[in-house]
Amino acid sequence: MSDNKRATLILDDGTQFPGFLFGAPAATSGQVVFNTAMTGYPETLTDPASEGCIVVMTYPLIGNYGISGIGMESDGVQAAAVVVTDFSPEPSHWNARENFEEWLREHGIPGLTGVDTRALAKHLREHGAQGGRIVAEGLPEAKTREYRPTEKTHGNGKRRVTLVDCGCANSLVEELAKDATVHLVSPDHDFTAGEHDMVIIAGNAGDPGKYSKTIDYIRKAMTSGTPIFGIGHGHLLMAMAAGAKVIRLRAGHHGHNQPVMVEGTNTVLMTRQNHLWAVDTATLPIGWESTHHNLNDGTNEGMRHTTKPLRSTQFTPDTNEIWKN
Amino acid sequence: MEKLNKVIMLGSGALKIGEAGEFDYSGSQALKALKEEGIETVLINPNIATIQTSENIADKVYFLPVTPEFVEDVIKKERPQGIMLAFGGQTALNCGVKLFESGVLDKYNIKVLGTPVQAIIDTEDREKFNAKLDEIDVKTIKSEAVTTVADARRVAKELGYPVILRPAFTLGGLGSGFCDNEQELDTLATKAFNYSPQVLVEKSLKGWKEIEYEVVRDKYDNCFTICNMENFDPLGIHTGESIVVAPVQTLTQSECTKLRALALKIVRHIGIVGECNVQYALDPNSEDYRVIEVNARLSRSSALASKATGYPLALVAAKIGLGYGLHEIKNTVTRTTTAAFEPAIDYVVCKIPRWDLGKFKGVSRELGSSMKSVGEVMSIGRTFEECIQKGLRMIGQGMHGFVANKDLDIEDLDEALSHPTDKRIFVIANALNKGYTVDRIYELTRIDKWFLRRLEGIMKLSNDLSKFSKIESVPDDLLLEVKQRGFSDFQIARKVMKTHDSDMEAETMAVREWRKSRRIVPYIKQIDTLAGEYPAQANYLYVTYNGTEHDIDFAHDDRSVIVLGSGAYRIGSSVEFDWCSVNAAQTIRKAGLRSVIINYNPETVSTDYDVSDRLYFDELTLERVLDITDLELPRGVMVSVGGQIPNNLAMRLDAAKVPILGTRAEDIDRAEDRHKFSQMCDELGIDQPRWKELTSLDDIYKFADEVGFPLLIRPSYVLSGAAMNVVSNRAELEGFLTLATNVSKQHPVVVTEFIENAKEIEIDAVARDGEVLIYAISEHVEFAGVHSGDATIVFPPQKMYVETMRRIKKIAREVARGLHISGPFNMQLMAKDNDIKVIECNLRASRSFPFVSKVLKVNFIEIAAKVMLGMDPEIPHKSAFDLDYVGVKAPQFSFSRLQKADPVLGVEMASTGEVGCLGEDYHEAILKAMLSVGYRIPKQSVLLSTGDARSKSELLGAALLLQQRGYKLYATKGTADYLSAGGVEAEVLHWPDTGEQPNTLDYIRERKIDLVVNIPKNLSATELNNDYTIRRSAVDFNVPLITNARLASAFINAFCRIDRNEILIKSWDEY
Repeated sequence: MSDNKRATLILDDGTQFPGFLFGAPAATSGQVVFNTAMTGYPETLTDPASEGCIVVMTYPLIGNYGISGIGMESDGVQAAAVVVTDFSPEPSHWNARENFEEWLREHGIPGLTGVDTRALAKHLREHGAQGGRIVAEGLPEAKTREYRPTEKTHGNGKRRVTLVDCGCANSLVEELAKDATVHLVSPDHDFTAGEHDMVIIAGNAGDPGKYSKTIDYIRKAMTSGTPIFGIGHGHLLMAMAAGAKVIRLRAGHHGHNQPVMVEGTNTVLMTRQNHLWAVDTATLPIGWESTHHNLNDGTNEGMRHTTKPLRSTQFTPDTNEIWKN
Repeated sequence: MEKLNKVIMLGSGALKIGEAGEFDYSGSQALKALKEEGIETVLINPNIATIQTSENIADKVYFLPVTPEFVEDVIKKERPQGIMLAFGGQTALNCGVKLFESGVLDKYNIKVLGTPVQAIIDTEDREKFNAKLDEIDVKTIKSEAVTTVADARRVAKELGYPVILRPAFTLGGLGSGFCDNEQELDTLATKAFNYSPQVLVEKSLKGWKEIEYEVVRDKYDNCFTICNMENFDPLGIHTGESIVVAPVQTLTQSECTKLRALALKIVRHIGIVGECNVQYALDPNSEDYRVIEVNARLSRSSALASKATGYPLALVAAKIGLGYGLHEIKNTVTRTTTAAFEPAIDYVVCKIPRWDLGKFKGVSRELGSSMKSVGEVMSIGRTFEECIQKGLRMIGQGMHGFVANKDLDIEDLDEALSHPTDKRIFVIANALNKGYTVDRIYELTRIDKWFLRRLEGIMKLSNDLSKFSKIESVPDDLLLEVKQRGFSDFQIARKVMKTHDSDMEAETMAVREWRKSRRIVPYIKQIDTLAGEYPAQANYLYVTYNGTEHDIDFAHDDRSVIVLGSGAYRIGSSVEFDWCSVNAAQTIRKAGLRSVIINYNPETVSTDYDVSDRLYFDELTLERVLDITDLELPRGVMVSVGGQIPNNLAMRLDAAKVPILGTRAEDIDRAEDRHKFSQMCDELGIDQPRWKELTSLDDIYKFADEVGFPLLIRPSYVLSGAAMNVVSNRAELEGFLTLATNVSKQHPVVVTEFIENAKEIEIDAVARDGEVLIYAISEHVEFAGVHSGDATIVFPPQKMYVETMRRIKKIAREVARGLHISGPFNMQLMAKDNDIKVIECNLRASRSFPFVSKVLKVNFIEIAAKVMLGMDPEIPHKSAFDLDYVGVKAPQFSFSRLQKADPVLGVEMASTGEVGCLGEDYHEAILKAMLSVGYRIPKQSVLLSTGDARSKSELLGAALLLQQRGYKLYATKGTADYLSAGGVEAEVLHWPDTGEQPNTLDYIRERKIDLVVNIPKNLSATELNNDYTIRRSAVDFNVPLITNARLASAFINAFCRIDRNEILIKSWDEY
């Protein structure tokens, strides 16, 4: 490791975490978030929810099984950078196509290794998710990238679904396409005019504030009687469209182990999440009710309209739940 | 929720291979959970050295065998409403299934809490299990259950070799194994049918990855996986024999998601309510899998998973059993979140088994599908290298990590790599050193290349270090990196300074001082179940170089008192020292001080983070203890409650200015150092068996001429076999000294006079400033010569002269004074013809402390800990003479698992556990204890083969008694003649090698014999092969075997004089 170039992550509050550079030799900046999942680094880094983020892996050993190209959540690395304690230079897996570092380099993504990511995660927990930059002497800036949705149709099921893509992970699209013909549209697209049996608004890319247009369309669609299901940002946007408030969490929910309680039952769901936001349950307008809450911190995880086919969840639910709408 | 008032819990009995301390941990947690609910608890467990059988854990404790008959007796008396079967290993589960099947549970209207018995049966019976998983299209290993050897042969042919045989309903893979051809199958199948009427023949998946998931499910059908684990060794090596890593390292998210989903599906379908594990075989070249098995109970893996994640599986399982949902149970680490989650960890954990195969004569060292390890360690690190190197030091077999060890002498590396033994990982180090590539090693071992590459990396770093010759010239970056990859200061010293053994200590300290001056120091991290997402309240800690800040603060308020734990369980040191450590920690806490434990054994209660105020789950090396004391600046360290490991650190800690509590280090040394101790004994006029430390053969022969045979030989350097030996003549002495050892100035040999037919006596005591405060004298049933850990011990002594007692007390007083003892100590003595000699003295707690404390109902460790803390303990004026009952401690052997090992007792300890039972008199206590370690009262017939003249006469009375009770006696020729002269009729069975009929071997195989008494002729190594064959067959065919004349006599007298129905069912508090 000592052969690698030294670099530092500097948080907006000035705290510095020195380490060694790997992956693409570039400086970058972004929202610094930690993720506690112990596997799935390719999925996490390609998840549009990680768009522009400096993702801090709390699990210390990353890259063990390399990159297979299977299970990618989008067509490239969405994260701006990755911060790890240690990574495997050589993968070991029957379907590994390349190693972790090569892959990052190929996508122009810098990595910082040798960092006490537990200390960093605890800092973000206490002081909140915040911006940060990875800097080192003589480094060029990494190219910034933004998640750009593409219009496309998946599957050929009888059920016709318009999926408003706010940074929707591939795995969800594939799952939906098993039971439906899924037509992906951009969040700027006026979906209210389309022909469909259901509208799903899903994804976690970027700040939910940037989707004001989408909120307008949702508001319009809500009166039409079309079943709508919101997932992730879709949940937030529906809440905003209905008049509720959305709050930014201190560190967010990033990991594979977020327990979600189904209201009024004894059922707990184990969910994978990767976001910074939550609907403020107290602000849900009349006609709406909370359907789920996070068992750890009590924040809202789902809601529905009491009479209309309008439902949403912060996490990705089982597709059967979606079709119930 | 239905309110229960009284619940009975079954323990797992004595520690044995495959069923060890993990069940003390899970049982104690379950009892704690019940107590929190205000439910009265009744525990049946004869293992007296456990925490769970201590005061204030269960309301009532029965030190009785965990068998259906005794459990029914207790049920009849206690009338509980519920029973818990999942916390006492396979012993409790099997017993519970029998109670269910015989209708006892129904008869007394007892509810099984947690997983229903039917679900247990579905997982235990392999055919039912496979059928059950077929229903949900989950793949199991293709196999067929057979009941005859011929059928086994047929199925094996159909499946194609290699196949694996597994007897149903057995502990930890007992009697199972691989067969490459029909011949091997015949042998193994015959044996397997002795353990179970049903044997499974399966296609072998050797080389696949072995993956395990720990799963919880509540009555609301909430079902989560708590931890996944990956075996370092491929399938084919029993999990208990494998290095296990958590979480999995080489699986993709897709594979994890798939196996997790399958686990949930299986657990829901079977109907588990509580905790279980699911074991998979995973193809290393696709996502193809097979489910190997499901254990519907707490297990060794669940204990490991609990310690690896901080998620208390047993506690949660108990609460689920009472009807709670996971979301209604608090997360005991964060105290703000609930048990309804799946832990995320931010470190890596290795479990490494500890073997003691060197203690057994003739045992096969090859690892396979049957478990042979006697203990395990868990290491925690933030790189794999840090973790594995820590772990390899922890197993305590003289290794310093992956590199910088003594060279192994390996004849054929390829062979050693493809046929793994207990040394397997060091063979890999050797191979890497000799230039083997990772690919080549993979071909031979099938260990995933990811692991091998990490090991290769350690080797490379080690070579990098070797390029330097002074610590000051090693660059800081490299020094930090090797520390981050788990190198100890010792390894660095050896690699850099190329130090020889004699200077190691000084050079190691020099490395320490240098790196501290360079600010290369470790950090303390917390285990918090949520990878830092929520703050942790529990102080469950480990030490790492892969960090830049501490998770905790150090108050330096002079309140920290550190207890050094006992490390890996091994033959000679197990749960009893954990009991001592826990009691010491509790006493510290009660005294208003901060109790700090350092230990690394995942099977223990002391490593439950609830037990102390701070738990450092880390190494007990000088380096690590100093790292911790540097930070804690403790008021003091207790080195005398965790057995020999901490005891051995005393002098060096003292030299490093760490305050040792209790007896001063130099006095500990005066007891440990043979010469110093002898000198003191001479000064005090205390007799010892004559001994000498000698460096040449001539000197040894001269000494032998002086004191005569037999002699006890303790070499300091062992080439092969056991370290200690007794020789009875010159030829044996020569044989042993030339073949097995090396005598030289560097490797002296201690030769001790061996006194035959002497009574052996123990005294356990606590002293303050050299004055004995309390003591307990106990006697061995066997004569001196049987290791005290293998002896059957009676307390209070029943057959000892008052005069002897008085003199022993006096000797103890003098020794305590002479060594200024403050704290616990133990002495072993022997008495013969009114002569008393001291064999050994340890200034620490001993194996028998929990036994005597519980029999006397005076907690010796609490008193000792108070002494060490400088408090004034209240000493109950209670004498062993006042007891109206007798306690007997009996050893548990695990010979059935140690293929080919000679099940004979000698100067090296061989037992893996023990029980302690109380009785109205000597006979009742002996009987209970013997039944508790698996002996059965013979129904009809006993085989006697009683060794030398003395043993023969010793057993004549017992034989007469057997005859009077109508037993059919069989005997080998000489014994039959002797018995006949004494008026006992015995039918002659011929020696195995004669092939003549009727033959001893056939009778054992055909189970025409209910008890075998085989006394070895002498203590020599040239033991007759015939005797060995008889003993080994008895073990292999599961016929109770006794090899000591005095113990045989005691047992026979006990069951002849007391009827099984006369055994009193009394709880501990009723004595």
